[in-house]
Amino acid sequence: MAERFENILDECLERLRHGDSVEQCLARYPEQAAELAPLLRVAEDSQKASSAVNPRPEFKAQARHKLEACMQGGEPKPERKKASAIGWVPRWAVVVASVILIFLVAGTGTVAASTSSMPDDTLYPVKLATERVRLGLSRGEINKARVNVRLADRRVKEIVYLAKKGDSRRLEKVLLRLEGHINDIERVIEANADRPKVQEALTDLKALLEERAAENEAAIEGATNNTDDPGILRHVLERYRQRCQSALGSGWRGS
Amino acid sequence: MRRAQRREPEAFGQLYEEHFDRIYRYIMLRVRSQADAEDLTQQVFLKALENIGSYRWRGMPFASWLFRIAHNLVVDYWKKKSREKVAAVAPEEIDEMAPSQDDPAARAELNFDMKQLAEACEHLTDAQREIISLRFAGGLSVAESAKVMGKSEGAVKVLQHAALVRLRRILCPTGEVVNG
Repeated sequence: MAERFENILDECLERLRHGDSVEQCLARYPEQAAELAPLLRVAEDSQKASSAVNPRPEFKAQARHKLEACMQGGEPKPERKKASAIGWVPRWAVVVASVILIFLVAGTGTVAASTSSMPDDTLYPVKLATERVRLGLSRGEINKARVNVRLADRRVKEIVYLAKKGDSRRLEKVLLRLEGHINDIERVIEANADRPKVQEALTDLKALLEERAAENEAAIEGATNNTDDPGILRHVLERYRQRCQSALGSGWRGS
Repeated sequence: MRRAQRREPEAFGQLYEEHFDRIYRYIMLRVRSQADAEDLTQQVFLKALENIGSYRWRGMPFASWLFRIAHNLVVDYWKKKSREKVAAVAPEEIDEMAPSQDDPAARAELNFDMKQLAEACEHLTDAQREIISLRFAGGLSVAESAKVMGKSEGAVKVLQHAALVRLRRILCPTGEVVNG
């Protein structure tokens, strides 16, 4: 019964959002009208109060101008423009990575060199491209998510390295990539939450993420003593914790 | 979306126009300061531009992706504020939340304004405040809000119900029916 009321309430809120009046909604649900009416009126007034506040036109125009300037040259890096199907990895790196993977099968040690490279190394784009290829070759969403867990470990190591060097510009980029891995894992967990057949694999995935998260958090925390700017690592730690908690479904961690 | 991901100004401009006001209102309700809301709104779109190449649908609507960026920035904003031990909101900042239009009729129509709504939201839990901001200031659907918050739609409906009940108690403590 309780859930049914929540569904009815939500349906009415959607109707309000699309232009129905409170009275029209109440007429559809006469039995629940007494309980619905005050909530719908508060919702309607909240909507009205919010939509009465608008950004200043000059600010909006200025923000758009800044954005267009960024699009035409400034902040987005040239290699991002070349990136396409493989996201933030340049095409040349994908090609190199594919070739390297072939060599890997043949037993060459070149990949090892790129695997241990750090964001300020020449081979780093190859490392990223190799990872994308590895993800692409993994079969099934859950396997991809497990690969993402491992890739998140690498990002944490890179963050610790960059914090030690005081390179906050690269660190911020790596942090975005780290969050990207966890977001991808979260999407897989959410998308498969109701599929009984994969529950065991999903439990294993969550256990792996939980275990790695604990270890990575300890690594980040430990590294705060080896940097001139421990604040940046605390910031990383907070964001990492938040992403992992969200992915593991252990409760929403608000502001 | 593909065109926007290729950074075609016209396509990104369309996304900008579609979402800008909603993002601004959401942030305004969360931070309650015009200057900070403007700064954060701008940051949301710069971050979106920076990362749009990595956006993939995979069940995450674009609006949810964008509001998630906004949510993260708001969370970071409050963490920074608490570290700085700055008073939550200066009274003059709250006054910036008055309806932007000068139309007295529009003002008269409101039973409470954004300022009162923001003050009432202070008495909600974090998650309740978030759902009210996403649904009524951001104009997101339950499905979109669920993606932003990393919760199931069912959980968000329960949360929305509880938030509205509490909000009503705060805004109408005597139990009188608003608007009616």
